[in-house]
Amino acid sequence: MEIPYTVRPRPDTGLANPKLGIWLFLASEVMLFGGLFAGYIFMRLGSDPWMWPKGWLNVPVGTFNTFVLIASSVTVILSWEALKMRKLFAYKCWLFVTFMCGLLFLTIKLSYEWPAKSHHFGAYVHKEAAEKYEAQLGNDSHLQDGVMVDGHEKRKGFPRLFIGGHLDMDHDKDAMTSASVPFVPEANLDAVLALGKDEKDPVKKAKLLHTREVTLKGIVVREADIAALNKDGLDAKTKSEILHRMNTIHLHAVDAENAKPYDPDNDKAHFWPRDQVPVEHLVLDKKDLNHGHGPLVPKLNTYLATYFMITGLHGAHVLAGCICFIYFWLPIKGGAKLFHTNPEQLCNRIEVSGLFWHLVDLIWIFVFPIFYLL
Amino acid sequence: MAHDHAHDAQGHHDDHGHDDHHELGFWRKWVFSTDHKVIGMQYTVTGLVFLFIGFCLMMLMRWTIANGGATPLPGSLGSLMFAIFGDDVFVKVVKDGVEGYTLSSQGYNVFGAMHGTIMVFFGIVPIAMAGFGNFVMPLQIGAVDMAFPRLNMASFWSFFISCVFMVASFFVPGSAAKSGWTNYPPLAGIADLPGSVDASGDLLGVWTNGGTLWLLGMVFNITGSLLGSINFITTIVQLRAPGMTWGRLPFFCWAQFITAYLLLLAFPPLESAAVMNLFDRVFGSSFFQPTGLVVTQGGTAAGLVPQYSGGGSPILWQHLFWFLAHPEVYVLILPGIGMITEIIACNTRKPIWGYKAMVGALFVLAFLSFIVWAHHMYMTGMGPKVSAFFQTTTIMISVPSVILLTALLLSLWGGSIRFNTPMLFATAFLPMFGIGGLTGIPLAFNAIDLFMHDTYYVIAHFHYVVAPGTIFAIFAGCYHWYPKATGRFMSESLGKLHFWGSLISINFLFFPMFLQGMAGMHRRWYDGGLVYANTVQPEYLNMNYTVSYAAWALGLFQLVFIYNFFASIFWGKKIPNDNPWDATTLEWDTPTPPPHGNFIKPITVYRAAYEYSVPGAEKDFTPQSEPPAGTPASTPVPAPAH
Repeated sequence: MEIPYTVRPRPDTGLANPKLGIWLFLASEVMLFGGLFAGYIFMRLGSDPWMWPKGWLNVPVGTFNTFVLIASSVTVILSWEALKMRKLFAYKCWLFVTFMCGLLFLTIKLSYEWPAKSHHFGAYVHKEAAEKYEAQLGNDSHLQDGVMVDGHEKRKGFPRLFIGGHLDMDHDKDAMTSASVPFVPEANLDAVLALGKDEKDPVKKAKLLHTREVTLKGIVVREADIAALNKDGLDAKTKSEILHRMNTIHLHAVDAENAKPYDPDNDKAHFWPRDQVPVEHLVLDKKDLNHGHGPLVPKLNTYLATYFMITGLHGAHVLAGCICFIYFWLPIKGGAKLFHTNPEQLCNRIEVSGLFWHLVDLIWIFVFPIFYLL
Repeated sequence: MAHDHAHDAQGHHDDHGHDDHHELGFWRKWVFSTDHKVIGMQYTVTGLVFLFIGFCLMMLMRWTIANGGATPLPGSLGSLMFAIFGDDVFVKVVKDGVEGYTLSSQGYNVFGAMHGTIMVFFGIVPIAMAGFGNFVMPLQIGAVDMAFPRLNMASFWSFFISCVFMVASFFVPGSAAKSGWTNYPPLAGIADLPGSVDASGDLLGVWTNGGTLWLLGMVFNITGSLLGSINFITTIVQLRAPGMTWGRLPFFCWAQFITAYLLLLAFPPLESAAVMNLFDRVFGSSFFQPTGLVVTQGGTAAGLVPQYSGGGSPILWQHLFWFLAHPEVYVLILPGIGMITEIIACNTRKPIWGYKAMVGALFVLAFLSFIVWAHHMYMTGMGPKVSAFFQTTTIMISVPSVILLTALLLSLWGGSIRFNTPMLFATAFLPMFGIGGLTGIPLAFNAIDLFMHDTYYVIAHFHYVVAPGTIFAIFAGCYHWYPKATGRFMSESLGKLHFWGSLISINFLFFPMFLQGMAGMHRRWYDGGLVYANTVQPEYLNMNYTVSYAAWALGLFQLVFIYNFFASIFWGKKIPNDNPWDATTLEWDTPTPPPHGNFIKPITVYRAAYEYSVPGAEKDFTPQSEPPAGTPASTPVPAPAH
């Protein structure tokens, strides 16, 4: 048994099976990313006007990656063309370049762009507590518009509530982990410590003690503090010290916007990323902060959630493309060896995976402006 | 292939079928098969099992509804259920001195959500679309297999993984998903939250909790159906036998073709929504969690109360979900209508009335199904302009639906109808689908929907479409194509018992719900409305008994079908020839059961799909592959070009 039209087109439809199949798949991909972009539009239009971040991504790096991806779309065509002309060596060269471009794109994503977010700290201050961090936010609710502060006119518009910067890792080696733990009131800590204390049923008691252990690790982070809390006869002073450690965040550098909140330069778009400015030990109280605080991960705000989800799914597509290309490049039965038995089929494979690659490229052409530029 | 054709032309038929491979082992032949017929049967049997599981969940729910909440299940059933599902779902209760176990109110939510999910995504779609589509469609178009056999296998196994996720989710701490089959946030984001504790004190894991497993299951399910729909469309476009023009395509294939497009384009947005919801659950993001969400959870470890940054939109989920789930309604019904069409044409012994109009109606239906989704969301306060648009499109979509139903009804006119079991189910389908469809029209109107929303009226409406509608079509299809798959008939007398029992009990099951719904009874009352007894008139509450007894009776009659289905493999009456129903379409031109590669002769199509009772013909059916009179029978038919 043999399936017809796997290589040659069917005369009346003018298509071979794989080509129709890939176009249908691309249609579904358009709907998939359409759903994601619809999510982006919904999130952005639904957010408060001053809450959608600007300038958090490194534009030069993103631009470079865009060129890498566009170049790879050209080279995949060149490799297909070489194959059509039955030039095996040129085919392999161009396909390898395509593969390497995909790999370069992913490397930049995985080794720089995403990890950079997790080295950065960010938090939203409650509106009620904004005055306390006036020096970083510069809202000056007590001043009128048009007043000169710090040599600049006071910035008009919406209140600024975001503080970004670098954690003081010398102060605490677990700073990054503990900064993302939410505010824990004393009553909550007591409730966790009391878990399983009065339980009679040994099975239930064991379960509750397990829950207590896991939960404590989740909210306290520092091992020394956990040990102290687990000791019998915990004195009030140690407990309040631990609570204070748990509920404060120490910064030693802040973003340019937070360093000079009145500078009109903040309202401009910046191509090159701006340096952070050292500050003298800024302490944030978790009680003053919105739920999401910590490294720039999806939990912090919907901008980052959308960014990681869309670039993550796009990255998965790039990876899939790379796997296809290396498979067709290697001298194996379904890959480059096919050149000697059925070159037209290999041609089709490159054409079909090339179509997929163009779509991945096209999606990036949308992703780049909506996250990096707009 | 060319080699084989030459072989066949000389009349050397090979008993081992039309297969130039060596005989496959058990695993490759029946488990990891790439043969569309085996995959179709795998889908059908898996789907039937899930249909039964989903039905059993509902029968347990009907117990608490009929008895007003906490009443022990009869006999040792309660202890058995408790042993299986544990104390997240079943509780010990005492009533009138009788001690036993019954579904808890939490368990009612679990079973309700899983009943819907299983019936729609794991029962009906896998059977009607993937099962029958896989088995029948390539045969009907005269293809050797699907266009991408390995993709077909991947599609089934992706579906199978999703089944494992869904079944496993019953046995993790906190039990399965409990936010309804629509999985509405914010509840869907915070129910079964990782780090909280369930009824028995077990800690819920990040990945091993009902809500997350539901989402993972759906992602695999959607992936499987995407692969399947690509395969279906490519096969129908590319692998039609010579002469099988679009105008000669059997209506069942048209229905599958259009349905595959619906799946292809409507499912991905739900996949993206599922990924977002997964982000919310696993990474704590706020796609669907609004600002200021306050969550209190009894029994939750205090420090791990969910903390959401907020800024998300629960309505976004509803849009993405219904953008899939309205076309999904047509995914549920169109393959059923396709099967019914085949069966009616064959058993009335006359061509389908209005074939072209029906195909046209399919196209219009498919297009409109993409722009009606927000009629599920009138309660979200979308404003008069938007709801006016959606109620207009919703009324418009009833036109093609009525065309389909009318054409089928008119097809009965003047036929000498052969009332075998498949035809009984097919005939009953028409008024049942009619009731389901017509009772949907009031719901299309914003003003009425505000009252009817989430009442039993809605339940009755869509169950009339899918239960005595699609599921009757599935039964009809089982009885009709069973002889082709096995070489034996299913028992006619058991089939008639199954039919009449099901028809009567299913109407006692669903019709009272219209009345309950119009009296304002809400669909999610664990105790069947007992708490509201002083606002609901007693006759509507008493209907709970009628409905529940009808449901259990319906369950009993399905046992007849299950016995018939498996026993007939061994003891059913053998079919007299390869075309026992005297049908015209190509699937009856194959040996029985069809071998790998399907046809043992080259197939060319010469005529339209339903040439029954052609005036002047010798017999009352003319198969599509029969050459026109005057063509010498020995004319060699060219093999399809590759």
